[in-house]
Amino acid sequence: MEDLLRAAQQGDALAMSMLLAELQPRVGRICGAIALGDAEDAAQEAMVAIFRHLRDLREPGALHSWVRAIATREAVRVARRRTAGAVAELPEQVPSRADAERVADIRDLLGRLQPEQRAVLVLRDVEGLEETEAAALLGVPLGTVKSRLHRARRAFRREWAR
Amino acid sequence: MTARTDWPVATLGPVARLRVLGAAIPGAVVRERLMGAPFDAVWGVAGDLEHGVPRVEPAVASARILWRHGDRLTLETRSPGGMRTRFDVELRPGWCLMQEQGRRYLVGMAAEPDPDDPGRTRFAHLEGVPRRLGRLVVPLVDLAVRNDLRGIERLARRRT
Repeated sequence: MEDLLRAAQQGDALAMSMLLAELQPRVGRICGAIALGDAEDAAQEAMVAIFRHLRDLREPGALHSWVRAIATREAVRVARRRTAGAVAELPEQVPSRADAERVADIRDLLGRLQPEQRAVLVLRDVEGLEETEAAALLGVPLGTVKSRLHRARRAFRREWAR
Repeated sequence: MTARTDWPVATLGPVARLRVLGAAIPGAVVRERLMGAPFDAVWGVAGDLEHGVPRVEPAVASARILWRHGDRLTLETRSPGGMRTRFDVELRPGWCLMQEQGRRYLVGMAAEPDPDDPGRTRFAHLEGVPRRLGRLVVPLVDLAVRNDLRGIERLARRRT
C-alpha cells in the first residue's frame, strides 16, 4: 500500500486508479451511512478532495485516518446541503421510542437522524473510533459526541433487538 | 456494539471514477456523452484497442497489444507519420486507462448503461498531458476529446 501511495502521489495515474479502488469501500461506507440519498455525490466529492490533496499526506501510515476524516467531512457537508438552515443539534429529531419500533430498516432509521448524528454513529460503530477520536475528527466537544451517540444508539439498539 | 452488514454503502461506477481522476490530475480533460447505443455496442468500439481506437482517433494509424496479463496490458500505437508510442493500460469492461510510458499523455474511457434506458450508454472520455504545463494545451485536448466522443458514438450506432 505504501508503494502504491507513493506512486500515486508522484502522479502515476494507474496507481491512482488502483488506490481509488482500495479506498472505495471505506469512503463508500462512510458516505453511504451519512449522506444517504446523496451518497454517490458525497463519495465522488470526497474522492476528488482526497486525490487533489494526496501530495499533502506526508505519513503513509496516516492514510486511512486521513481518508476517514475527509470522507466524513464531505459526507456531512453534502448531506447538509439538503437540510440547509437546520441547526446542527436537534435532539427532538432523534427517533422516539414509538418511531424506532416502527422503523423497518437501518436506512429509515438513519434518515431520522441529523447528518452530524449519523457521522458520530458511523465513526463509533462502523469505523470503531473512540469517542475522543470522533470528537477530534468532527471538531466538536466530547460531550456533544456523547449525547449524539447516546440518542442515536438508543434508537438503533431498539431496532436491532427486534 | 457490532456493525451490521446492511448499512447503506455508496459505490462509485466507472464514470464517477474517471471524473475523480479528471478533477485531480492537472492538464486532464473529461467530457461525458449520453450515447444512443447500448453498452455492448459502445464498449465493442471503445474497448477494442487494436481495431476500434485507430478508427476513432486520427492521431493513431494502428495499435497493437504487446503484452497482456489480466486487466493490465502494454499497447503500442503508431501515428500516421510512423511514430511509435507505448502505453501501460488498465482495461476491463466499462473501464480503460492508458498511460504513456513516459507519462507524457493520458487517455481514459469509462462507460456504463444508462439506468433509465438500456438502449443508451453514459460514456466519459479523458485525455490530457498530466503535468502542470499540460493546462496550456487543454483547449486543443478538449477538441480532440469531443471529436472522439462523436466518433465512438457514430461507430457504436452502426453496430446496433
